Amino acid sequence: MTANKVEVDVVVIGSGAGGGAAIQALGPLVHAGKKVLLLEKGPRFDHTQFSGQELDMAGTLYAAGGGFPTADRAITLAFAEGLGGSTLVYTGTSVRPPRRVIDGWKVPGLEYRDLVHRLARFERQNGVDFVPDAKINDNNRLFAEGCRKLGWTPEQFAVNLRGCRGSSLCNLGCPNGAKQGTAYVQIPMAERAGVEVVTRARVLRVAPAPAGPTGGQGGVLDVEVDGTPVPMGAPSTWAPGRWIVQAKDVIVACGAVHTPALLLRSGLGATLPALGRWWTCQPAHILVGEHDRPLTNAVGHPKSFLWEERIVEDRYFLEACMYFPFVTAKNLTGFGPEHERLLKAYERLQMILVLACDDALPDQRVAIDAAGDPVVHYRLTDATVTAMVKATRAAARIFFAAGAKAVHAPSARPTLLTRDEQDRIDERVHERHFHRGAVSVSAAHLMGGCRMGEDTATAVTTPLGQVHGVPWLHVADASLFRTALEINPYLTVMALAEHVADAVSRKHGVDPEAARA
Amino acid sequence: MADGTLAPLQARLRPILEAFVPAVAHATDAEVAAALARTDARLAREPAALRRQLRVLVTALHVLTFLFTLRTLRSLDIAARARFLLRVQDGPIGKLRLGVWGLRTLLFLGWYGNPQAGAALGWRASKYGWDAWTGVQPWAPLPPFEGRARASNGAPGHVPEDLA
Ligand SMILES: Cc1cc2nc3c(=O)[nH]c(=O)nc-3n(C[C@H](O)[C@H](O)[C@H](O)COP(=O)(O)OP(=O)(O)OC[C@H]3O[C@@H](n4cnc5c(N)ncnc54)[C@H](O)[C@@H]3O)c2cc1C
Ligand code: SF4
Repeated sequence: MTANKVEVDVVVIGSGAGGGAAIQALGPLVHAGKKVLLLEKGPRFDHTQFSGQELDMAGTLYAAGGGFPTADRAITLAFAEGLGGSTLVYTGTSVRPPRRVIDGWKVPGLEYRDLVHRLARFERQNGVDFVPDAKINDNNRLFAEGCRKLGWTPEQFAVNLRGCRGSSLCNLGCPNGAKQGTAYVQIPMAERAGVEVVTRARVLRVAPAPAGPTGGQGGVLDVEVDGTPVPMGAPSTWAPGRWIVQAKDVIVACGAVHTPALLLRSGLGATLPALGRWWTCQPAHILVGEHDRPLTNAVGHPKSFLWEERIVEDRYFLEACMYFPFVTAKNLTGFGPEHERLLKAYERLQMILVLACDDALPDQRVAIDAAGDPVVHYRLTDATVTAMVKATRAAARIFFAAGAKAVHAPSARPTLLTRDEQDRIDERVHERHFHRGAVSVSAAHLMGGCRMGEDTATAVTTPLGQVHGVPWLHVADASLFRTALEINPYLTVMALAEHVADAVSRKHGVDPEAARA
Repeated sequence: MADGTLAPLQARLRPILEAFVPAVAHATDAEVAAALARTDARLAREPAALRRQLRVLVTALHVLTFLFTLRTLRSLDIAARARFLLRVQDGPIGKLRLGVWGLRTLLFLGWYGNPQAGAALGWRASKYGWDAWTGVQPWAPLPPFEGRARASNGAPGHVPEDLA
């Protein structure tokens, strides 16, 4: 069967935080007579179909049904597949990157000031604001209250909502279309500008365009359009089967797992030793505190507060959070009568998410298997375990200060700490009880693998996101990060992606700043 | 015989599932079968080798119980079963540790992934959020505003003066 062929000026692959921001930035190229295309592997969803049921929605929206494992199966990686990428399932925590991290990257030409200007614009587009006091649930109140009683300073962060009803289902796809993301904001703007968006189109490989009368410039994509029916989501606008897309510039934004995998599949590993490496994910786990009385926990926006005063010294931060029955069951260490008793206290549970800032190391990496699918070789280092244990101790103190009568800590044995053990938290919660593989660790802040920088031994992309040595190929997603961001990353991903897309716009003769003005 | 990875092992899995989720002791066979079907649907995405290993693990857990306690898994009461399996999960053999963790996670998925099981725990999230909430109202007062900082580096949508 012969493949269909399409020629465009610029193609963006992937439509999450990075791809969505990039495609919006490229919209003005259409007015200048250029053809711009967005290819997304997952379907386009209609949020009114989102059921709020944990398994259905995880199976529909997440890669591997929400259970994408690291190679040793010790950590679960969460990322979504659909128009909007992981912004379909993110909580919407909208925080700016710490200046120390961006400055520490030492990427020439990447200025903190420039990023802040860009992300402030995305904040306005996404309706980023604080949840009003009256709509903050007990789970968040108790986090703030616990911190305050300890003399610590909790920070209220803003979230990106328009018309939030407080259904608390953000990580299962917002059924009210209230949580803003690229599928609702940036991609529709790009479509209005004339960009073509094709879903259920998986890019298998990228290669240089063959030389010839019209070729020899840019890249060629081997694309597979999936026509198998899915329970939720629209069919592709392209016919199922193989497509060849030729583009003068190709921007890859498949996320920190699939972007390195696509480039590796395309044979770029031989010339780019850093490809897939220095990969980080801010590993996280949930802690639970049990109160005497019911709380508002599974109602209201789930997240409004964080505490990060120990981030520089101890490499962790804490956020209020609330998860669903299966995820909660999975995250409570162990099983049996005590595990079940605690789950049955769901209405009285307070939750805190412990996040570690992991070091970017060359051996933490994305590779591919024989079929070309990604395999993530990532191990929790001793330093990360220590950070998680310290974070657990701090979270336990917050729970008790907020009035909890017991705290479930995966790195304690027995796992349940009672109020009368408050003075023994350091002794009870300890690295020696953190059994790798028996603690439910997951990660949703996936970063690196195509890091920016000038040195090709340690970087894959230039400071403008162009793949070293391949002038037509660019990266615009979380894989650009040089290190863990030490905070929730989506706004920074968007700002960086726009920075990359702007360079491509200039290449095509369009001044992006003037176009935005 | 039932299809799938774990469904055909229902008789051998039930005592393990009861140890993981004691409420299962009161469940009908049909309810257990439905939970295993949910787990199997999830497992269908996994490599065949992993599915084979899980089946071997189920048998191994029965054998290990007998070797270490001289009792069958089924004859131990639920608390004793859970204690023994927890020992295996916290034990020195990495593969067994990860295996038990993986099996309990998959069985939790099948059991708690059922909306009714979630509701039985008291999970009442709904699309309509606050408007449909029938539970308690927020009770802990919000700390005075001076007690919390807002956004570490700038008001949303605005560029701080020093970066303008
Ligand atoms: C549950 C969850 C909660 C989160 N909460 C927050 C939060 O509150 N705040 C925050 O700042 N961050 C949050 N994050 C992280 C944030 O969502 C990500 O950092 C961000 O979306 C990453 O953007 P990205 O463009 O790199 O990748 P993604 O957003 O994951 O997008 C990648 C896209 O590429 C597509 N794709 C992959 N391979 C191909 C291919 N071969 N061909 C075509 N398309 C392909 C995928 O289907 C996907 O749509 C959360 C993440 C998750 C999973
Ligand atoms: S809490 Fe708000 S943003 Fe989150 S799912 Fe519910 S309505 Fe949507």
